[in-house]
Amino acid sequence: MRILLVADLHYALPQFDWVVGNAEEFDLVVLAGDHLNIASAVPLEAQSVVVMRYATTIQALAPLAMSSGNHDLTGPDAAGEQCALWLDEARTLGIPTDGDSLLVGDTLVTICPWWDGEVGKASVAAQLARDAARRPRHWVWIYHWPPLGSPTCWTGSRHYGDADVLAWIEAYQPEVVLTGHVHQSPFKPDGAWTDRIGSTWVFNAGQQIGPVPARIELDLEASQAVWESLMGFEEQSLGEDRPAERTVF
Amino acid sequence: MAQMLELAAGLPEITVQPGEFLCIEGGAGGSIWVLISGSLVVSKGDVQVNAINRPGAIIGEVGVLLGSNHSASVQAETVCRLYYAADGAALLRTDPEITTYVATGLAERLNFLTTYLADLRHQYGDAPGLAMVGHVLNQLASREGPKARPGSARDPDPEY
Repeated sequence: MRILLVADLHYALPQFDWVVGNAEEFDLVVLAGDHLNIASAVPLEAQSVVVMRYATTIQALAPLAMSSGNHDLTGPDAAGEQCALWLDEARTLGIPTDGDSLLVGDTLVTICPWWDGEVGKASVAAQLARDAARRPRHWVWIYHWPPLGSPTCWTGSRHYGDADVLAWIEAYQPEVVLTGHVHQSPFKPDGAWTDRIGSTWVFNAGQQIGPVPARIELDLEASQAVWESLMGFEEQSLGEDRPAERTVF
Repeated sequence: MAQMLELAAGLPEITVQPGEFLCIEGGAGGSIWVLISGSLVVSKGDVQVNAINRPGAIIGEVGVLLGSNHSASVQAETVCRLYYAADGAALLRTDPEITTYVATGLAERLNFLTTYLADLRHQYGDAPGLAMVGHVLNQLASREGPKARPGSARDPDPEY
């Protein structure tokens, strides 16, 4: 199973175009949050329509899973906590999204929303517990914020990670966690695009300028991951027990 | 635009000196101005995006209708005379002729945008982002629902 991971496109339309142009090469395309950009002059209402159109275009080419990030939140849910209300439309269009789980072959993909309060956090905890009870050979999470303390959340000056996902990783040890959120991590000498926590591989492709997104191509059958960006190209064997030395610096 | 000068003739008149600002980007909206004479420049950040010098031009109406802050700064380039409604919303509520004139102008601008974008799609239709323009415009034109409320309580830093 070949997975394309991109995140933090932040309404960079040429980067969405690139995903459309390359989606067919993959068994699963993962957009791991922050599709929208709250700093853009384009209202979120308009951005979400454009991104949803991209999502349906990509879904016609390859299976797609899209989770929310903090930039994707557009209003309160029933509990009064911020959530990506517009992603409900993705589900009605057949695109797996926040709170869904997707079985592709022998791989279970758990799509975690950006949670923004205690009710949302409890919902994610329940979602992970539910999927843990039925995990097949491969279990992949999509979760926007990398775990605290990991080089995948290194900004260049501090670790900026999520303590809760770290605890969940330690508890369940999924095979792979696909993240984003901290744009700089892969581009800093003390940061990384991949990390190993117990038996779990964590990935964060980072964010870059230009028409081509920073990305990770993951082949679960070949146990191989590749990071491609403006800085260059690095590989990681998932058969190793620790991340490979960085080579782009 | 001459018609707007006639419609606005009952409003108070103000004079603005070169270099003075009518409004500042990000500042509170709410007022409407109608240019009688002179020249104004419109800027976003450090970039000048437009000039206003046609008598009868309306300034501030979009912010009034959307209840939003000023999306750009407007500064006098020459001595300018303007009609001024401090409470633009009240003006639009109470003067249907002015409101109709404003609505017509907005509809014209919307038409400019849609026809321009339709032509872009026609000429560059192979690019996914442009091929969807018609669909997106139709969706936006018929959109209903609450206004988006962005931001995360858990991570309010917009940098990430």
